[in-house]
Amino acid sequence: MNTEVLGVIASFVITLLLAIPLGQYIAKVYSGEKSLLDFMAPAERFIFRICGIDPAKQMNWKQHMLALLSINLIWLVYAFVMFQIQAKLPLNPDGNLSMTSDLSFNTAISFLVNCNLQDYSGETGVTYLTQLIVLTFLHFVSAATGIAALVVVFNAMRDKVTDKLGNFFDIFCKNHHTHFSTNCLCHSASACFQRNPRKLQRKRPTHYHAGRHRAYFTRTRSRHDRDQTPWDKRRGLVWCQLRPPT
Amino acid sequence: MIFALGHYLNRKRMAWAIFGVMTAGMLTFLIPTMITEIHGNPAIQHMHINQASGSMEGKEVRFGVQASAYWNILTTVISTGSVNSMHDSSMPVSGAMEMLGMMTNCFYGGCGAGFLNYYIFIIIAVFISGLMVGRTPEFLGRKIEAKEMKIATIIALLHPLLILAFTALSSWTLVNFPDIAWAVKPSNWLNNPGYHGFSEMLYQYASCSANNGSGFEGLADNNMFWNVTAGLVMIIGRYLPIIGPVAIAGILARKKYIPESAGTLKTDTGTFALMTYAVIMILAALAFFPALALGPLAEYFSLH
Repeated sequence: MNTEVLGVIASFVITLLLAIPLGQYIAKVYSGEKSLLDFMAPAERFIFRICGIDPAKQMNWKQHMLALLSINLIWLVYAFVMFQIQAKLPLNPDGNLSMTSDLSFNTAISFLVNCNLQDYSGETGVTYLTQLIVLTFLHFVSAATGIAALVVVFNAMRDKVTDKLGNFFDIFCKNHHTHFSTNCLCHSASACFQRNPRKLQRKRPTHYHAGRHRAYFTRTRSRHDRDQTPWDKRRGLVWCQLRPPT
Repeated sequence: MIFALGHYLNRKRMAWAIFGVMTAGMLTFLIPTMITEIHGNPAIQHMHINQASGSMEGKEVRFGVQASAYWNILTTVISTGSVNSMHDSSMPVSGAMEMLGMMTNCFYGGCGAGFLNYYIFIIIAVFISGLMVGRTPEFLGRKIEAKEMKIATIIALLHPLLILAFTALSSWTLVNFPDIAWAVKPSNWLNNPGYHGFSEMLYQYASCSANNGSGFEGLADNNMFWNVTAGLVMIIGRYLPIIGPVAIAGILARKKYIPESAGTLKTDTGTFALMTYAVIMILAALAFFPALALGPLAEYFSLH
């Protein structure tokens, strides 16, 4: 038994230990008990009021599926259109092209269904705008869609004979304010503290080693970059996302 | 979510039984992967290159072989789709295990969707074990009848159908029309000839249908054929397995609740957990063994 295997076992055990209290917390949230993050609930109520949704209205399974499929269809059209016109939208400093229709079809579905299969190439296929308001957006809502469907099944598994399986939009939104957003904020904060770069500037071409290959360091702070902060200098670190020569 | 289920329905024993089956399933894939990866590649060994640190092709030195193997399996049993080593370079047995992870698609599984798939297998397991011991199949106090079984069977068969039918379609196109005048000719689709090329196509559809999203790589997938077929597989592979379990649950919830008695088949015992595990594995093996035999298994035997 070497360190690597011990590391694997440790990481599994830590995940398990984290999952138990998190599971308790999620169960509490869906049973309607008060949770720590309820201070975000007013935002949710505000959205419900604008959309004219009554979160207390109970749905049966057919109404749930209708709500789920129709809202997903809207996102599909939204994502498809955004990929088609992304070249003309702002936050595209590199002049990345819009996607072809078949690639838009594939990418829109892929992110909508929480599959995230990427047939486009990362830095040239999408723009900063579509990355932020389409891909990241779909990451959240597709996961929440899956969990909302699961909570409907949980509701149906209770002892009562019932047709009332909760409100789809209520469950869907609860996901966000009670655990998704917190989780993501924590991880983004940790990424920020590790100085993961996130810039909206254009890519800078640079020569990579000696030789004929030309590579792009995108959103990079290189050692000789004038953007380098004193903090970077002390650490002597170079962050880069390397794309193979095209 | 499994632990949430235990607390939400106050059935902690059942939650642990489900978690146990899922972990056992995960280990079934993880252990062979680890063992083959540690032993390295015999073909490279044959060239007198030291394989003491395992099969390092396509892996990062900072992760090493075992942590990469762990991630390979977790990322395929859970539908995260992120990779930290190139699955295309995994050993054939690991490739088979990675694909099986997506083909079963319920050992942990995706966000919400994992348990929905597992729920289908529970219904089938309840039905089969009910028949075996001669009791009316009941799950959590509700009788399971023909209508629910029909839905469960369709959903359980949909996943293999999508993967195998589309892999067959792409293989057929590749063999019969290798030089058709498309932007990317089918003959240029694959990076590797033979068995491994077949694995690349099989993996792509398994990944799409399981909504996993990881790629085996080595496949020229940004062209009309792959974009459209993979898109169709993804969208069908997502929504039907959501609608199916919700429909079953919705129909069951309306039925009369029968309190547990001595005649009830208990669904939170070790026996039932074993039964579910067997149902999942047998279904996956029956559906996918021929395809796996053509891809990774054939490659494994050609290595030695």
